[in-house]
Amino acid sequence: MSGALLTALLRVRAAQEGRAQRAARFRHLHIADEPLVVAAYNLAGDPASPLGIVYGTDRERPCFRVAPEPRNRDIRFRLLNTFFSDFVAYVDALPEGDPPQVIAGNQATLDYLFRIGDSVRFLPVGEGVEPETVLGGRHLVRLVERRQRPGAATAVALTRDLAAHWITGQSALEDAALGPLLAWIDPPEGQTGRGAAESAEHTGLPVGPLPKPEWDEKLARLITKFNEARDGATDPKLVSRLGTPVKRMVRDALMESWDDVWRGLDLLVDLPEAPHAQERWAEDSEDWAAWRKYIHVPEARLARKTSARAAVWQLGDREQAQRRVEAQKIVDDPLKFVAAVADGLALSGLVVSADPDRKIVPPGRKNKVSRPLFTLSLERPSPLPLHTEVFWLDRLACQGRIVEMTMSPPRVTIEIAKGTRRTRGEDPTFPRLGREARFTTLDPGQDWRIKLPDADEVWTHSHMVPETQAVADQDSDFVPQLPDGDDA
Amino acid sequence: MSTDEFEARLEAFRGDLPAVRPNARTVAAALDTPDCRRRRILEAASVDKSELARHLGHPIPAAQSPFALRRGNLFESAVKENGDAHLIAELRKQIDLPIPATRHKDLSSSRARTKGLKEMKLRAKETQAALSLLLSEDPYAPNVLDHAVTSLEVGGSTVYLEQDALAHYTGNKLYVVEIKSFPVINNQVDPVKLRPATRQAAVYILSLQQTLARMGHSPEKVATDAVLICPRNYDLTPTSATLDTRQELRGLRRQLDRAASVSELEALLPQGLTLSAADTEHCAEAVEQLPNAYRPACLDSGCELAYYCRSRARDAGETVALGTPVRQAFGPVDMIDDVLAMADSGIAPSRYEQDLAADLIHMQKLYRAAGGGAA
Amino acid sequence: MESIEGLSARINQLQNEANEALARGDVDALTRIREHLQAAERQRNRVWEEALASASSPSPPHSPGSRAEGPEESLPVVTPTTARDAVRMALTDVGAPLDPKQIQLWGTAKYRTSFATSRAVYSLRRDEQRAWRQNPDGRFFYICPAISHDTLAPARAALTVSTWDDEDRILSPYTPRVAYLKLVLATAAAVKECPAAGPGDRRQLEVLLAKLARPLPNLPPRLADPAVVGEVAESELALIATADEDIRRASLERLAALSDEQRLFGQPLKVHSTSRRHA
Repeated sequence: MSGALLTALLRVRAAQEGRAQRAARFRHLHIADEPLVVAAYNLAGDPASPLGIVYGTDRERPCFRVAPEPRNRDIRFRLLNTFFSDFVAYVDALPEGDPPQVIAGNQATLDYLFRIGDSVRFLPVGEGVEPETVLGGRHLVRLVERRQRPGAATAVALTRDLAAHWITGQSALEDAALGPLLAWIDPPEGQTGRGAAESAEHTGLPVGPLPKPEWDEKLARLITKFNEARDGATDPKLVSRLGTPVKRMVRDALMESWDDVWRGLDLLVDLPEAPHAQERWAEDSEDWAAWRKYIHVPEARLARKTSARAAVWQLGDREQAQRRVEAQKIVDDPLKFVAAVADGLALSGLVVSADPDRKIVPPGRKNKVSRPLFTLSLERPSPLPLHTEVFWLDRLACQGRIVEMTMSPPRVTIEIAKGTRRTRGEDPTFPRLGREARFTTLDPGQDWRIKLPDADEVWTHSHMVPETQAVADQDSDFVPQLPDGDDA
Repeated sequence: MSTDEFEARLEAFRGDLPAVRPNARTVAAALDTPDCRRRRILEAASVDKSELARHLGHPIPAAQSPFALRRGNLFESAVKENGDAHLIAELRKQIDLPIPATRHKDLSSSRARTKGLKEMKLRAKETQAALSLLLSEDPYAPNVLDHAVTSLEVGGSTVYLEQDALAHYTGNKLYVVEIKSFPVINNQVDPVKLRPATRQAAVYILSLQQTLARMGHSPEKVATDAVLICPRNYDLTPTSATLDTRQELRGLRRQLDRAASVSELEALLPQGLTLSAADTEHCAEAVEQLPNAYRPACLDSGCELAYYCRSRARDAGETVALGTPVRQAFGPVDMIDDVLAMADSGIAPSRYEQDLAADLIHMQKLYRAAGGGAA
Repeated sequence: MESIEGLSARINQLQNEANEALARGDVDALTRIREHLQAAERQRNRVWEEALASASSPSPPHSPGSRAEGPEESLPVVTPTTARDAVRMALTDVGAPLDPKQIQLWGTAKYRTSFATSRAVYSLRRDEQRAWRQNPDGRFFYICPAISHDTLAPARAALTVSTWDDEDRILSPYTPRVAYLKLVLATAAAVKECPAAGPGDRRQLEVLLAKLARPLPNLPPRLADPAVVGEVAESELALIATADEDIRRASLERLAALSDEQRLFGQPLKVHSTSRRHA
């Protein structure tokens, strides 16, 4: 992972100073004008039994929905239908060309939203399932799935992005919890990162989707009372009235999560946006537009699971996208560049000799080709060995090789082999004599734009499989307990 | 020192702290951190580590939610209801259990219905009797054993393990069945859940192999494939899969061999050392005499002392508290103060670190020039 | 064994007595008479089956305790009024030892009773034995635990009725499976017999049948077709029924040697005494 040495040092520094250290000067994530913030709690043990969801595009106006007994199908679907109805409304209200952006506190919440969407997206409409629920489920799955592609921003796990912009004085494992992470980046007045983080661990509640077991113990008592009182009835008014204690408890917890997510979002928004983040967002927009068009075709088929062929394609695409994002971050952000230098993935130096018009006849060829040559004076010997392929950060299409290097004085000579032609009616630019030039070994990928997958390759797989009881009730409360100490 | 003497010594060491009985999960987890002697000794002495953590001022929060527990129980009872109907159905699918082979025995309590360790030992005996009958290929011997108890030798002490179920039919192997309530969704299992389940299955298989060996039967009769039964998709309908545990078994056997033998643990346990529930300071002193190996992964490993050990590591300013990659980035320099001294001065503690020190000070210079610093 | 004529005459007489008891609202008498009536009907059905089998035409699956086929007036369905009665009816309907959960499922589906809690069923065992001790003849029947074939100890989660033959109250290693299959067959038969009128009744039984049939092999999920399900259950039952009976019969002599109380409620186990205290 790039930036390892710098990250290590920054963790040590942060631990000593009691405060997180910056890992970026820019924000490498586009934030939409009105993103949808979501936090949710699940009933532990079940794959998709939502206790409560809080969501909205306005910090001051959270929508909170609760299912006081999410194992009951009627009660659960009342929550799901309401949530998805609002979700689809949010998606439809977006201006043309703007994709949705779902912001969750952590990756686990995104995975959870995926499961919720997955559990409803193949259900037949009717029997308590609204059409928006099925449609919303499909959108949600699509949004979260896309996140697997490096650089995509339609679904955001705040812990990951915050940790990419700030380095805390705790371990990466501990950074996965939003409360402690925020405590390091923005500790309360008078507290150290460590103190605030430990306090958050101890008294705070997780951002989701799983609460703490002690909290669950209390909740379990309230839910049992609720179930006894309603005695099997699921009438909405009755459920609402009797479920008030559960609702209060879940809402209080989720409001903490809500506040934390917005707090984290504020920290990110405060950073200026990196140029390439906007470019990647444009790709997200194109992808979403294609999805919108596709999903509304009546015979649209959806894969339940990625086919092997599609998986191979996706993997290759992801690797390429990962390299590209890394390269773009280095271009955009001086701190990221420093991290890359420390890892031996980049170098920077003063151009002491420049020959942009150089032409030679390469071995085995007949004609002369353009091979500009540049020599850089470095502060320290080049970490990149001879013959390494490098890319010029000012114009990533400009690619070359290190053909010569000296230790003392530390210098490298780079011969450019690609990106020497006129493109779009413009002459190519090159490193200038007397100026600083930066190069990286990270291959930004041949093509800028992501290749949109053929609809057939990724999405078409099998017929939709109706599953009427995909989300079914628990059995009744009867749990056979064999009696102890029966006299014989 | 004989095993019995050492066991007595361990009991004395435990002092007035409550004892706790290990299970397959804790055995598997303990074997995962073989280099932490502190953990090994405490577990060999059956110390209730969560009580100990509480006494040390760093209690670990409860591990399992009541809802998860309940779902686990509900699923298990769904699998076992109607005379193991679903269990048998899945066994027919996975190991071709023949239709007439549905003879069932419940070993969930001994005939004497005692409690505690005595009960486990009795159940282990009854399990052996049932296994003996089963392996003798008696046509009426029960071939689906519920809640069988087998034993495992770990570092000189005997651990009794309660299995979910064992299944066998004439001419075939003995299978371990594990019932878990994490779901299989769209034919995929969360790998985070699958690995510990496979490890646990391996512990059960190993235990069964040892039990068979003790009975004079070949351990080869135990299948290395375990049958896993878990819910399919979003409800409680059971489905099943086989888990190939060969790799886990190899790893476990290696760890068991390497696991501190009685003499090794003996050497690490200072004479006369005891834990005391009453005196926190004394307790901490005693614990500190046992060498540990804290790293952040301990927080996820199921060891109840993780928060305590972390607190000590953080107080001491050890880089390992920041994660293994951080610890490894600076060679032998393992304290926060020393790393920063190196980065600030460019001076290395020894000539081997000179390059590193030069890199650090240069990198720090670039970092600050580029606008880096505190949040 | 009685002749078929004797059986038929007795059955007729019992039916008359039952009608009279019903007319005067004597529930206890009705309960007792019904017990005898069903036992007699079972005997008669066995005679019929043997006759049919020897005439080598397949006899239809006939679960013990179900209503006799024929032109006789069938009694109206009696709904259990007490927990113990409900347990007895469930056990008698299925004709095999059942666990409390199975009893609850059947009772809810067939009789629409809801057992307050599992406690009611569990506490029955203790109460029944106590009541027997106080006065063995005080009740027409007692709910008893099934008896393990090897130890003759009471089984943990299987119940029987005291009026059953000894053989039917013993639990062999096959019996849990046999009981399950008989429960499936009883449910299938109940679905077939249930009048389509009355919206809730048949549906409950079908849901129960689908649930019970889920672990049976080669059946599509959510299937509630009693004929198909019945055939699968029947074929498996045929493979193990004999072995099950053999094992049970082999324990009869030892069981008969016990005291009356132990014959019904099982032989208590000796508690091991050891001097070692557990850790």
